Amino acid sequence: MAKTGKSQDKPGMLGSLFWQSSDRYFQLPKTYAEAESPARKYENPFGRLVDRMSRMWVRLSSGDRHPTAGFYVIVGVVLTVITAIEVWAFTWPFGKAVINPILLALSAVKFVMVIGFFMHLRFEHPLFTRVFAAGLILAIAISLSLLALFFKLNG
Amino acid sequence: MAQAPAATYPHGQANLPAESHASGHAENTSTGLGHRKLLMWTFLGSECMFFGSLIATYLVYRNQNLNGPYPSEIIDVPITSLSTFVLLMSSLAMVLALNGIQRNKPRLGRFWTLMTAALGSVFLFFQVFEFHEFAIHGLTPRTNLFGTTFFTLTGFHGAHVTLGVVLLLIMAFVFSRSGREKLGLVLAVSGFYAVGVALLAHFFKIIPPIVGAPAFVITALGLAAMAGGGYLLAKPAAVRNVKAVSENLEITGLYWHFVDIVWIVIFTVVYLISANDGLGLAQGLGH
Amino acid sequence: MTSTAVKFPTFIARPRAEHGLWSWITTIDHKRIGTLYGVTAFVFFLIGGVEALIMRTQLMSPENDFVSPEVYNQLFTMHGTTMVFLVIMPLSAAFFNWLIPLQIGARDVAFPRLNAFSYWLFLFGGILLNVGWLTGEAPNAGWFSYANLTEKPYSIGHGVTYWILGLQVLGVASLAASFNFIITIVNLRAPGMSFMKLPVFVWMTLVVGVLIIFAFPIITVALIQIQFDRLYGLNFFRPEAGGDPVMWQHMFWLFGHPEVYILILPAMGIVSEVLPTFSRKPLFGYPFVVFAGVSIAFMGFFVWSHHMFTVGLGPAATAAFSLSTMAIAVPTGIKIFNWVGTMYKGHLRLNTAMLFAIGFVTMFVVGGMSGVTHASPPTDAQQQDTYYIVAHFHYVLFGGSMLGLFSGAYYWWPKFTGRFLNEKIGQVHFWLMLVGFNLTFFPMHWLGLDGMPRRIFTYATGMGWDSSNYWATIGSYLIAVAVLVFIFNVFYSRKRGAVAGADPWDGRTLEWTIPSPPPEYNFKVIPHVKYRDDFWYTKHPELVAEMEGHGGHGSAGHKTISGAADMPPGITGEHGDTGGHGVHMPDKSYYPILVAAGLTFGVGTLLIQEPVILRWILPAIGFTFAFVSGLGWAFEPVNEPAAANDGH
Repeated sequence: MAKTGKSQDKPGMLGSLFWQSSDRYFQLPKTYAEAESPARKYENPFGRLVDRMSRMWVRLSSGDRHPTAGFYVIVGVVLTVITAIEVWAFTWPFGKAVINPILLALSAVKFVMVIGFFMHLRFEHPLFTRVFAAGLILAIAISLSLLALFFKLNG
Repeated sequence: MAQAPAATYPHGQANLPAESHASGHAENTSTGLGHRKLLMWTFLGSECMFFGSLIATYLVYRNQNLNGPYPSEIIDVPITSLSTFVLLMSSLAMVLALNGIQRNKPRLGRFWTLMTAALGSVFLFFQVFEFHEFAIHGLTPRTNLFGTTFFTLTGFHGAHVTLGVVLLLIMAFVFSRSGREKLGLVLAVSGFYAVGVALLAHFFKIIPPIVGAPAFVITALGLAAMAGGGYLLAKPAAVRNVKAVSENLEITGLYWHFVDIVWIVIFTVVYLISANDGLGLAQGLGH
Repeated sequence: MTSTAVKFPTFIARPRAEHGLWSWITTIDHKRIGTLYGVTAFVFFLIGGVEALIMRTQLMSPENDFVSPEVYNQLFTMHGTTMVFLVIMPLSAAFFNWLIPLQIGARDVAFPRLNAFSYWLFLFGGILLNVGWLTGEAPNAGWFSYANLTEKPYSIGHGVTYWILGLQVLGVASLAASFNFIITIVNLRAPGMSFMKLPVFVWMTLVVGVLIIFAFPIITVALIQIQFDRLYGLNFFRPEAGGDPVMWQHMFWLFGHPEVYILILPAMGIVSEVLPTFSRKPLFGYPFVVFAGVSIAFMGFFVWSHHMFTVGLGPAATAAFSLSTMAIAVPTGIKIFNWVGTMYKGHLRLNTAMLFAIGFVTMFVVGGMSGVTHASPPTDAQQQDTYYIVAHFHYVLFGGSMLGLFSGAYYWWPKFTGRFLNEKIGQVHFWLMLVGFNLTFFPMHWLGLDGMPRRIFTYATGMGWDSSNYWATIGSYLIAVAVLVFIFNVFYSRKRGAVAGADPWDGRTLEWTIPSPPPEYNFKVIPHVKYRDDFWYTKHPELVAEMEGHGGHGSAGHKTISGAADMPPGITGEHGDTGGHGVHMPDKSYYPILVAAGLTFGVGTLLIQEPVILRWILPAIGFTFAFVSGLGWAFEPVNEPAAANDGH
């Protein structure tokens, strides 16, 4: 099936982090051919650094839909490190107002890494992302509305 | 359009619902995506609402307790960090299992599948231990709002993990075709659970009769069974239809990873963020 | 030999019955399941209707003692619950089952056995919900069962427990069916049928499916919470432990408001098929109808608190929900304009199906208008818990959903059975129902504004409510007569109805390209679709140029039309190879009903609390039975290898 390849227009930064085949600045290549393609060479603002990282990415993820075991192990290590940072951050002597957002952000990173890499959303048809994101966003929106109803709007 | 005998109609196999193991191929659907994988993703979207509702209830009732024990008196972050790590590693084992099967290495796939189930079970042992500890310290689902919401949320998560472990064990059974492998599987799995239950019983006195000598005997027997089972399983596995099996394993894996990401949220929201919750707002504000 | 990966010990031999009871119990054919849904839901419709008639008889005169207050509580609870969960939803499901595969050019749904499972779970859940009538303790806390009225000290007995467990089972049934239809619509469309070429009914089914999979988990959680409170003494909604009964209201209406759209959108889809056909015009503003449906679904999740204005949520929350409620009237209004625009300057054919569709539009407008009035919190405070609300939601649910469903019944009856429903009897049915309906529910508007409260079993003389109530009761009897006329029509037309061909109405969608009733495999060749209303343009090629000239929805430049009807037999498409062997439909299966029975038994016996040993053993038996049957299901191939080899 054809991916919705809008290679010319550039959607927002946030979208490109979550959806593949969107912005080539943040789009990680999936094949060697794509990584080598002249079109992407000097387009990104970070120059060769991103380019080099892209190649490393391709080597790690073996280029097709199924990244290598080594890649998964690296993701697992990163997840472990983030968990360790979370537990460490829990002991920082700051107020909840500082620490809680950090904890939430870190867990969001873990969340996105697991769905993106372990659950392959990064490499899959966007429809899977959409059906899942629909439920996720709705759940978050409703939870936040409920919390607001109970704690903010009840004046 | 007159009806003609069925035999003269064009062959329609291509449009038949792809529900069987045999028809895991996805080329014949409008989107090119397999029915069952799409079903699993849709189901997980729906599950977001399920756990979202449970977590929202927890958050609405956070700090509304009228009596203790309060989270600050009872939550043990170091132990839970360990069990979180175990569940995270089970997710890693899960992708390695799928990776093994997709590269047509059934034995590797089965090893990591069993590893995933084992790590998931260890997580469940942690949860049993934790619930037991809480009960000892006077927190049951009936004690206060924290107990009610905490046990319901983590209990339903635990139920999901349990279902996942069962599915994974069925998957491991599917990989094992010969009688020798099946015997090895039964030995290894039952040995593992025997060891787990015996250790849990001995160190935390959950089942009174299994303490001391009986626990050690059960542990020894369990270890022996695991060793024997492992020996029998060391033979190369033969899976006839790797493609179908890998689709099943992939879908089971999606479920498993989802259970893991739910725990990522629970660990942050229920443990790290709430661990210092003490005497709630309830008294302070005269709620 | 098929390449089935696993041989698993088969517990039961594969069912083979083609006729009789067993063929229905083991069927996984979407058309037969649709019929089962329709018949079962209609029986529940009669039950719910009798409950309504008893209530109306009780209210016919002031200070009546036809039924006791206790029975009256059970009646209004069960009437509401039955009509919502056991009538309108499954009647819609009957149409989904029958029509979705036919309208998208598929041979069955994506998961045929899951489809059968949904039906059996619905049937058993409906029975579980109604068991209370036999034991004398039917649910009695209203269809929303507000906490803490439903907590143990305030509601002893099993009534509310039946409600909780029955709804839990029904929820699983609805979820399973919705997943099935979502996947079917996304994945089994005929080649060429892109989303913007789908019939509106299919679109609305998709939207309803999405609403169900996102709304039902919330009620599942809420039911679990209230069940834990009631059966195991937890504290979710117990104020003495810090719990908040208002939380139940939030959880219930978070589900309950999407549920309202779950009830009305299928009827909107039906009407969007009937009106263009009998106006002999394409649907006016198709994309607007579709996107209005989608935006209703999305906004439907953010209006729930308008059911709770009188709880006192604070001015900010009340204002926000008031605004969002008024906003959701906009897409609904867009749909009304589109339907009117479809009929405008059309060559209307006013047969029964069309009359019901027009009845739907008019009655729904009345209900919609009264609905907007209680989007305003001060007005709502006046109307809350009065008969005005009863009038409003009966105008949208009876005048809306039910009339729409009757319209669909008359429209698709020839396709379902091969015979028309009698037109004259149908007209009698329509006019009796329309007059009876308005006679029953219109007076309730002023009864409510005059202050007559809902859910009271009687009222005092001299309140000025006597004659209105009297006429409302007469109207309800008229509705009952109308339903009897419909039943008579069904039986009369079984043998004496005019025989219908494949395309009796000059239809537009794919179901009219195949014989009536359709063969088991539906389409001998899977059609290739080029245009929206493809079949219409196949029959009227002269309209294609006109349509494309107006920036139509087909692919520009193509002059050939390929519906199924004009495709010569034996043509080979990528989806319809002539292979020389028959179409193999999935085999029948025992497992769906077995799993459904096990699950219902497991959930139902959670009710039994004494003696303690049974509290765990009976549910364990049920769930184990369901699990083992589920294993059998998982390892049972869709097609028996032996059967698949027949034609080779």
